[in-house]
Amino acid sequence: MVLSSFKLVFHNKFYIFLASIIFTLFWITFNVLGELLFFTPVFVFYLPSDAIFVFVLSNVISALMGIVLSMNVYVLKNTKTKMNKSSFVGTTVGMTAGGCASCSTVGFVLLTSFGAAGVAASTFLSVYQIPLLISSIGLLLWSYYSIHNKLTKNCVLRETS
Amino acid sequence: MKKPLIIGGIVSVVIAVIVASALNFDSADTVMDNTDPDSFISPLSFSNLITSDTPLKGDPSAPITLIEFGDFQCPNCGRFARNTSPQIEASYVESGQVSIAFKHFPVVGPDSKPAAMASQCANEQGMFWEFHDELYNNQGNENSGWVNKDNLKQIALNIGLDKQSFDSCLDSNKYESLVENDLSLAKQIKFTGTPSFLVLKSDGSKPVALTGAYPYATFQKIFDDSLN
Repeated sequence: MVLSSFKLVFHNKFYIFLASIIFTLFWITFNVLGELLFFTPVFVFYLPSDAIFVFVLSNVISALMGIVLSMNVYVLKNTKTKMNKSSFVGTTVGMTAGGCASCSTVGFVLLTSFGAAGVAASTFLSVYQIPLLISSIGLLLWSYYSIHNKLTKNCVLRETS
Repeated sequence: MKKPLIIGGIVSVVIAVIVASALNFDSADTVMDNTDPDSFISPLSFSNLITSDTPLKGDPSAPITLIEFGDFQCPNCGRFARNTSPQIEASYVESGQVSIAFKHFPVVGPDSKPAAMASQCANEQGMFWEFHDELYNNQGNENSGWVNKDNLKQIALNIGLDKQSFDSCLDSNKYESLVENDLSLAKQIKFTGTPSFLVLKSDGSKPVALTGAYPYATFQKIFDDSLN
């Protein structure tokens, strides 16, 4: 069962706390970049109909990031194996696609600093935002599976004939 | 044993930087100091912001003017046009408290400028806002060609603009300098994205600048503060 490693890690309350903090930070970041959450001049969260699907995907990514990064920390503290690279790739892809590329400050910097290349990059990020977010979820799920294998199969001896 | 701590530290710093950037992105609203004689928007220059070519909705003598700097290709500008703007119009514009003006900030791609120029050609025939709504209600993907000149002419025809004068206006790039001037103004104000907004009182005092597709609640707070 892939949930055995989940139970192993989150049996410790420290990792529940860590995952909650990571989830919250990424949730805030995604929603600020997606222009759904505003702190000033008044604190307000709003969800227009055109943003619902991206909002759901970004919530899934935030939750997976909390779980996977906390499990990575567990692996680092308790084993001698290296941190999982796919979680970093998943995080990066998710963050890049998280905001509306052309409208956000990041997109504006791309457009104004890199000319035609910036337009191409910004257009790609904006047009393929949903596929990129789904890819990010796939990478994070793969990362979870890899960590699960590290935690549960380290001590399995292969039978030789 | 130190390795997890170092990596944990790096991860924490990266997350902190990302969150700080996001919060900084959010805090793009400022009350501008227009008592500075070098300020781009002194009470004297206020009237220069709204010229006869500036599309304006509502009472021109309304105590507050909301100036949007937008791009017809920007999805968040579309979100503002479809969700927030109608609420502002119903609550503040129809009662004569606020007027809405539109200026061009065409930064998303090569088709943004033709779209901006085309909207000014529609304005020439008194149909800027109809053209504006038609574009935002049927917005395509950025730089996919949905606002190339041929499509812009078809959209103009669909909403009942005079084809001959619209096509002639668009083909002659009649409003290129106006669009360039708006773009320069947005850069001068140091706006960093679309949509951006200036909320101005009629006396030009304490203008508020915002960047982002802020929801109705934000504008409601700013308008009520200004009106009171």
